[in-house]
Parts: sequence; structure tokens; C-alpha cells
Amino acid sequence: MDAEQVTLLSASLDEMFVDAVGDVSAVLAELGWDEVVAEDPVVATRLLFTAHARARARTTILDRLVLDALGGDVPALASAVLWPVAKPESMVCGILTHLPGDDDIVVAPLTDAHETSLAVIRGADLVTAPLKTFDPTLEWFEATVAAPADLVATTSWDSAVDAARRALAAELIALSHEVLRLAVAHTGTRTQFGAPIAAFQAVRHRLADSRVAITAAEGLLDVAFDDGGPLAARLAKAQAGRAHQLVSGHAVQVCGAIGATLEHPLHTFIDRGVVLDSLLGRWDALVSELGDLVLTTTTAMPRLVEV
Amino acid sequence: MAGVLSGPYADDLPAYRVALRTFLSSPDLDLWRGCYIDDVAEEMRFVSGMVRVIYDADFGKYGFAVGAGGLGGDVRHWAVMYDELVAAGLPLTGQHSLLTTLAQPISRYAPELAAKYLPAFARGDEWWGQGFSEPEAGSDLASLRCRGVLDGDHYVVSGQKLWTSHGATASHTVLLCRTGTTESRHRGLSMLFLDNDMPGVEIRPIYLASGRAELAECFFDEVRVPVDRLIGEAGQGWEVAMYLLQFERAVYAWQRTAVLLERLGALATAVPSGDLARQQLGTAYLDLIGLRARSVETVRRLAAGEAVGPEASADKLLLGAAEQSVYDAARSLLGEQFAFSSDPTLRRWGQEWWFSRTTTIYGGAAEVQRGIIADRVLNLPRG
Repeated sequence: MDAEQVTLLSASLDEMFVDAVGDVSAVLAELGWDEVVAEDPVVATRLLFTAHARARARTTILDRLVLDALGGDVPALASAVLWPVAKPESMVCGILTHLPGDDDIVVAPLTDAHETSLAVIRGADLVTAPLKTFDPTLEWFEATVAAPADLVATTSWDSAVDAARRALAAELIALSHEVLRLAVAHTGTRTQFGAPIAAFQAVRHRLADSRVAITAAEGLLDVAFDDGGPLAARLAKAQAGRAHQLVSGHAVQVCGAIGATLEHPLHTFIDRGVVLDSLLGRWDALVSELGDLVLTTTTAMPRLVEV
Repeated sequence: MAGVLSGPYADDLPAYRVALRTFLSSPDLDLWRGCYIDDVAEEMRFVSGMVRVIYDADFGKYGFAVGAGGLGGDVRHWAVMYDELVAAGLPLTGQHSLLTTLAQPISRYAPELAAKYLPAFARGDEWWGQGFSEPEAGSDLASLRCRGVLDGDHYVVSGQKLWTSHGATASHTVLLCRTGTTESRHRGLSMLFLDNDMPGVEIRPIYLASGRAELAECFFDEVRVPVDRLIGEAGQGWEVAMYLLQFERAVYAWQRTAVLLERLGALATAVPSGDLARQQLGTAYLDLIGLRARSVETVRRLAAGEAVGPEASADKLLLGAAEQSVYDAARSLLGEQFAFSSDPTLRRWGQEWWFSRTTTIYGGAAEVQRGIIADRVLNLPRG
């Protein structure tokens, strides 16, 4: 896909995602998105989740991505994922990013020490309650299963998690870019002591460090898409979440008080990132898992990236 | 060059890796496996034997120009060499880092000098110092004062260089000096290739706080250097230096990831597990693979002959963070053993911890790299 196509697609997605809520499958189909995915699935995923981040859209694309990755393991009509929050014990509970209808099919992963199976649940069999999240624009729900659910075996859950982590990393990176963009814009125009504050070294270095953290996240996401495996996906999401936290901290500081108010857009990109970081493993939890890997590796450390 | 051909692996990196891996597993190299020598000069001499064996078997000739004792290929061959050396338990030391920074610029800007001198360097018979920093010109490199005054067909060089890695044992110095006026800043600089046994050259080692003599201070007192020792044209020194720094910032970073991944593995076997260990070792691993993920793009671009420019500063900053992440983890997780131990294996962590402190200083301090990104990547207004 050439640069011009990418720019055009980006613009179409930006337009599509303005005020978009819920299921956008039909609009995407109209856009000919299936062909884009067929031509270059990696670029398609990155463009989609990047535009989603820029618009702070509230659609079901992440659920859709996971359901597609689960493929034949789940009923074709499944329309929602019950996102695990902590390790579910006997009871199936989790987070819904949108409220399913009574007849909609919801898929929930049940992981024990050895494997994951999927609970297939009717919307009507869920007890739901609105969930307050760090991002007040999100209308998410917590849900528990009221009736016994059908369990189906799956071999694709792990790879669905990898795909979702890559998508989340793409979205977190795009959010970080927006946060940095706002901070660069603010500090370039805000004048104190007779100079734009971006001319002060203390400010410049925070912004440069922000940029470098995003650069590392982008490199790891490239690797994760090339590699396709779980370790690379975990690294990519860990760095994307970590970069988002670092960039957010620096941006709020250099934007001054206005950046910490509802009157400035900065918080919208920060709030959304905090929520997305919490899906499928917060960055520091993923780092701890990486630490486990380092501690238990008895041969050479995986180099993962080769020239 | 007529009659000189590139080697069979010049265009086949995967085959190079496989053949190199087999070669490096040979008993001929067992002498060097796991070696770490306290005395830097002795370490350089000892490891040069290994460099020679690998060069004579042709594997060490890739990444060097045909016509300069090389068999072609590019810096990706070096990246493979670094990874495979470490994987084979072999040392990756001063020779490799000096070659990483100095070989490409001399090949590009002075092919005749490269043809004459580079083979001995690549073979490990000798190594060269990089004479850039001065007492009054560190981060502000363009203010350097070491002078080269043209006198017929010679430059007469007088001045001082500082922080020259392995300078005290080097046979030559790649010297950035002022051949124009002080006011000419970076436009009045030239790069010269000096023999360290020329009359008027005096070099003394500088010991890092670790006790290792990694650095040197060089004095030049009216050293007569023939004009044919120019690397590039007169006045082109800054351009050559900037070309060089791309390799120092990017390919060297890849080299360190190879070493640091091995050190991280060693650390993990030496410390008790726990939440702190998981957090710190996981962070260091993320830093290292994040650096590799970034560096692989840069190395490929350099291999393709592209200029990397200000973005190489990101590689350099990520290297500093990763290097210090590993050794801060060591200091924290080894506990009291980091401070109290006579065991050489444990004392090595302390020595390397000191070296890791310099990673954010040499090759352009981290503050300078951040400034480059602020100016030229983020386009922030200047003060």
C-alpha cells in the first residue's frame, strides 16, 4: 500500500469515526474495508486502531477483532466479548464494552492453569450493571453470568489475545502521539519569561523523552506484527502502555494547569489510554510477566529481533 | 577493484549466520570463551587473537569494502557477528566497538587510506583511537581547538584530545582538528589519520572509576602529518564526523544489546526471584528488546546507504536507558554482594556498572541527544 492510499484511507477513517458509537461493521463494509484488510492486514489494523484513537471513538472494533481471531471456535453470530478483568474463578464475570441485546451471543474466556475454554452466553443470561471507568465517555458494563453457560474448546484464544494486544498497542501509541502533539502545540505558543516555554531545556527534554518512548513502542509494534507471537505482542503492549503513561505525565506537567482541566482536550487522550492499558494486562503487570520469563529462562535470552 | 570479488555471503545474510555459527562453535575458539580480563590493555591484546582467527577464516571480512581487505556486505553482517559471538560465549570488546565507528567513515571518505590501513585493524593486529573530544569541547564539539596548520604538504598538528577510548594502546588516531579559524566553527574542521608513533604524539591512559583504563588523553606537539592523511577533503571534517556518529549511535547500540542480553541472563541466575526482581529484570528486558526493535530499522537503513540523521539520537538515548536499566537492576538485586565481594564474577558487575554510567555521556551526552530531537524531530522553538 503506498503512502497516498494510506493518507486517503486515514482521512476516510477519521471521518467515519467522528461520533461513531457501537457497531461500525456496516460502515466499514461500505468503505470497502474487507479489501483493504485482504491487501494488507497489518496496515489495515494499524490504520483502523490509530484512527479510532484519534477520534476517541467508542465502537466495537476490538470485540470484532477478537471474535474474528477466534474464528470457527465461536458461533458466527457472536457479537461481544466479556473481557476478563482479574482471573475468573468459578463464576464468569467481566467487562462489556457495549450492551448486548437479549438474543445476542457473548463470548467469555475461562482460563484455568492449563487451558482456556470459551463460555458462550446469551445476552439475556447476563446480569449487567453500568461501569464507571477512568474515561467518563465510555459506557461500559460489568457483567456476571446468571445461568450455566455452554463451554466450547478453543485453540485460538491465545492468538486472539496476541492480536488484541497488538491492536491495543496501536491505539495506545496513537493516543500518545495525540498527547505529545497537544503538548508540543501548547508549549510552542505559551509564552513565559519572554519566550515560548518549549524553548526551555527542562520542557524540551521531557518532550524529547516522550518522543523516544513512543519510538520504542512503534519499533516493538513493528516487531510484534512481523513476529506474530505472544512474547512480541506482550512486549509491544507493555511498551505502548508504559510510553502512554510517561508521555501523559510529561504532557500534563508542561501544559500547566489548563492541561489538567476538562476545558482542555489533553485529558481525553490520557483517560482513554488509562482504560485501554488496563485491558489484557496493564503494562506493569506485563513487565512482571517478562521478569518471570527472564528468571526462568535457562538458555540464552530470546533476542526476538534479528537484523 | 579488478580481480577482487566480494565473498559468497556478501548478499546472503542467513547463510552467513549459519556458517558463522558453525565456525564459532569450533574448538579453535575455546581459548576465548567466557573470557573477561580486568586489565583493559591485556584484554585488548588477548581478544585481538580471536579477531585474527575469525578474520583469517574470512568471516571477519564482511561489512568491510572489497579493496580494503574486506569481502563486501554491509553493517548487517556486523550485527549478525555481534549476536553470534555472544551466543557462542565469545567476547565482544573494544576492537569491535572501535571498528563499528571508524571503519565505515574511512572507507567512504578515504578509500586509499582504508585500503592501506584498514585490513590490519579489521584483523585485530592493531586498533585506532577516535580523537574528537577535548578539555574545552565535549558536548559542544564544534568549538574544538586542536589545530592543524598547513605547511607545504604537511599539517602541523598541535593540541589535546580527551576521553579517547583505548587511545593508550591504539596504533593510530582518527583526529578531528581545526584547519580553519576558530570562528569558522564546524566549517573549519578536517579529519586526519595519525600514526601514534609520529614525533610529538604523547598519550596517557585514563582509568574509569571502575579501575579499568578504558580511556586516554592525547597530546599533540607540532606533529607533522602528510596531507594525504586527510579523511575527506580539508574542511569536510564535520561531515565525516556526523557520518561516523550515525554508526556510533546506531550500530554500536545493536552491539551492546547482544552483550547486555547475555549479562541480563547471567544476572537472572545470580539473584533470588521476587516481585522486585520480576519488575526490574522485566523492565531491563523490555528496554533491551525495545532498543533492538528500534535499532534494527536504523541498521537496515544504514546498510542500504541511507542517512539516518537526527533520528539516530533516539537509538542513543534508548541505549543509555537500557544499559543503565541492566546495571541498576544488578546493583539493586545483588544486594550487599554488589558492595562486598571478592568474587571476580561479582566484582565485574560493579566495574560494568561504572561503565554503564558513561553510556549517557560518551558519543554526545544524553542532554545533547534530547536537544537534537527537540530541535530537529519535534521542531520545538530554540531558546
